Amino acid sequence: MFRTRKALALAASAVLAVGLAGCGEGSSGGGGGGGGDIELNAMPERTDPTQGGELLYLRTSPVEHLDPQRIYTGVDLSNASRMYSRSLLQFPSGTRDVDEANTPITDLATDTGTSNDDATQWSFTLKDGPTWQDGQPVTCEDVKYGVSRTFAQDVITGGPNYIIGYLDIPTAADGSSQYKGPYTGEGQDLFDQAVTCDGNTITYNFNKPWADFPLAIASLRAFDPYREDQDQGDESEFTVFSNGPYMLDGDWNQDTGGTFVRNPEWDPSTDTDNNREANPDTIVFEQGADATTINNRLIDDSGDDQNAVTYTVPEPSQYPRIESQAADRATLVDSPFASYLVPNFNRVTNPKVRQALAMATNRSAWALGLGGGNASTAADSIINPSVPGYEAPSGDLVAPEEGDVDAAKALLEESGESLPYPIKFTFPQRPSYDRAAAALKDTYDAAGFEVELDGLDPTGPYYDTIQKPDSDSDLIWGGWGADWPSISTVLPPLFDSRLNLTEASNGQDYGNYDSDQANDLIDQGLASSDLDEANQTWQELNDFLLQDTAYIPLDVTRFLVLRGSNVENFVQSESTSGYVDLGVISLADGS
Amino acid sequence: MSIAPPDVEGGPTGIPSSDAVVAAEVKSQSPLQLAWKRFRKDKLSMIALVVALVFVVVAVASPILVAVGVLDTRVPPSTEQFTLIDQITGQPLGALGGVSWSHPLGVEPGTGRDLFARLLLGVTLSLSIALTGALLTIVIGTVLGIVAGFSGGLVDSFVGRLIDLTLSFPSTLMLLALSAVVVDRLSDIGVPSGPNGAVVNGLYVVLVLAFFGWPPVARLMRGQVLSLREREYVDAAILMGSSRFRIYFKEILPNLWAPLLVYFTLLLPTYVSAEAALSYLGVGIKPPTPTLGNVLQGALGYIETQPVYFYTPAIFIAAIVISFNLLGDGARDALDPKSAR
Repeated sequence: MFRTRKALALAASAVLAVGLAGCGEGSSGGGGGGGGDIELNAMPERTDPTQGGELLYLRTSPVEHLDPQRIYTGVDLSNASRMYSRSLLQFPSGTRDVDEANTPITDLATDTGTSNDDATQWSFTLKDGPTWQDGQPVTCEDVKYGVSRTFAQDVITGGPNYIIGYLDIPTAADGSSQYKGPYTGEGQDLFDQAVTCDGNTITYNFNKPWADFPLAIASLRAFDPYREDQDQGDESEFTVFSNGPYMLDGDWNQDTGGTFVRNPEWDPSTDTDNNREANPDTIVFEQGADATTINNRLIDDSGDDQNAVTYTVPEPSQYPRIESQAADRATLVDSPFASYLVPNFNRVTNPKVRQALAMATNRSAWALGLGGGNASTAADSIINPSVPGYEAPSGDLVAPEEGDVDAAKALLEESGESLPYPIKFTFPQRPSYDRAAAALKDTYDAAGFEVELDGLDPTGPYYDTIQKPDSDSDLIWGGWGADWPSISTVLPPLFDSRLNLTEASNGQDYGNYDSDQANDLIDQGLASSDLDEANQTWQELNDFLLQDTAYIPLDVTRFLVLRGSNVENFVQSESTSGYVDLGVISLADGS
Repeated sequence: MSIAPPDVEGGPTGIPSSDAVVAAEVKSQSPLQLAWKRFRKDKLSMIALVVALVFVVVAVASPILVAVGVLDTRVPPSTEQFTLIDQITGQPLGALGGVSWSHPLGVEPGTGRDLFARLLLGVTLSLSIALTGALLTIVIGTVLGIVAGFSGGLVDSFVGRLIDLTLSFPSTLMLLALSAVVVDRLSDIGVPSGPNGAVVNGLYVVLVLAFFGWPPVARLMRGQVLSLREREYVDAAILMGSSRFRIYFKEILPNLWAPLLVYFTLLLPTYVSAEAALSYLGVGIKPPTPTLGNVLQGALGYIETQPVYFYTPAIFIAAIVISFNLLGDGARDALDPKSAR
């Protein structure tokens, strides 16, 4: 459940989500004429869309999967939903309101689902009318088949697998599900009991409450329909059988990308509120260039690049050029990703030392080192402010943004450890992270630590390295974005020791944090069938984690993205994890 | 030094004897004195010498200045940082990347660290690495070269094959791949890691430079020794029953100082730029400990937008490399005027 969203945050390639849209500074629109500062959350005015034209989508990292059940990167989850893979529910397009953007609307289903009292059973009824690109209707069996594919864990790899833990199917002795997916058919009868089709109505039976299931459906592509006769298992990784407004033209090239054209069988009347306007005639994906190159092309804005969009944020060194030449074609929003530090509980066992670390953390200098307000903003929680249920932790739980060296020094002296206390700080190495880490080191050192910076090769497997339980790091950087807008996809996956800690790996619990009290609160939160009640438990858990210094908040990543001068109706919001919304985008000169 | 000290030939009374007066007029001069005389006439070499000496002085002085607090390479406290750096873009405030009296070369984008202080300290670390690496290279190369050249036979061909083997290594690839492993090993055998791992990481670069740098030195020395060993004084030493060690280092080595000195001054600048290149590849002393290489690496993206930040470390490296190269050329001309350039 992490690789994609996490990996993208790491590559600094993700885009936006308007955490503070609701309470953002009421600044006026973007600077005109190309010069000026880039203002937070300033989007271009919406205009009447023009149909037609060829939209160019520039990417750094290649698309990892096109197969809906295998997608796990935020940008690809959103793009697939807008272009070719419909689900029971979707998020509304084009809105800038956080609450609205985080509320699912119908897509293939006629309503947003009905559940029983304890949220262990969910039912959805499908619309008449939606079809596949060959004209055949999308049926309940297609939706059911799509869900079943995730169970083939040896074939359908890379995607989110929450469904395996939730569906009411007995587990085998080794803890895996007794259902092995549609390819072997082993345990098929168990699956057929857990997910049932009655005419147009699909019913899911869970073994525990899943109150935010509709959010998961709209966010992930794992619950999308899949046509059994089109399924070639692993061979389908880069094929598209569309039921949305676009379909793949020819083959997808894993190195260079591919082209999506209009799906002739697409009927906009089957969509909800014309959510997918599908204005451009074609969308061309071009991948492989690096971030600097892509953003230089967008700054220069010549030829086809005038029709281009991207998710790739520029390097801080490009800001002056953007301000002077492209400020009117840049948008800046808070992303759904947050980064944080975890002390390694296997090594930093003295609570006073951990508190001293938290107290000496200079979050404002860290954010500045990453590129200032254009790249990052200091955070007070591991929960991104855009996630529903987020509340700022009470004042004394989080150190001042600049850190408090004197207080940290006092804590460190109280700890009784010999000083300077050595700390090895592991983070993904890049020039901007080097600068940010140097800023942290200087305040830590001033407080009585002696920090060694351990920058890991960014092209290497960063998470594989820090997931080793016997790692000799004392302080570890991590980044995370919620899988769907709910705290239940933030705190439990990161701090549930039963889920994460094994002999070979610490999973997402990089600090080897193991607390029965935290685990109990996680159980309590996940067992809630009421979202408000659950959120209260999550607040309690978050405060507890901060008190225990299970993590130290750092920053919320910001997405500064450029677009070509011919691009109109450019919107980024929580609906699309902060990435550009292909549902409403259009080109001024559509011909 | 070109004129002999007055008391060299003087009598005990200090009154020059008539012999001494004659001797001063046709003063005999040692080869070094002659070389120095030639060197001084070469203006370019003298300028290079002065520049190189300035860098050496800087290298010695900057850690002291940092220790006493005149130079500060750290990130300034937030209140001061916000006056140096734009909080939205992270770019330095003020002209030319924040140049001011307290920051004569401006400040680093994103942190507000003083670039002047970082560069001066970088000179220390870069020159230390280059100097240690060059010394080690010369020592290994000279010992193996002398032994091979003098012994001949099996030993000579063994060293010859060792040279071939070393030269055939894909050195850049190896040093990248081995970096983490060797650094770990060095720590295991008790090499202190130093602040931010600077000692052990710096030592790795030194070892790598020496390991891949010694073959040309050894070849050069072997060639020299092949002719030296036929000289009469070597025969004499052998006949007198001198030990091998004595012949190597008392009879032969003193005659190799000139080419060694030249080679050393030429090796130093290549190692300075090699350290910079290795930093770019992520090997060696890690940021935030400044070396010329990693200061330059941090500035790479800023060539267009903060030219002062980018060009200053580049100019420092260029100045060191050029001055030591010219110094080496000058030394060669002075020590061995007959050799072709």
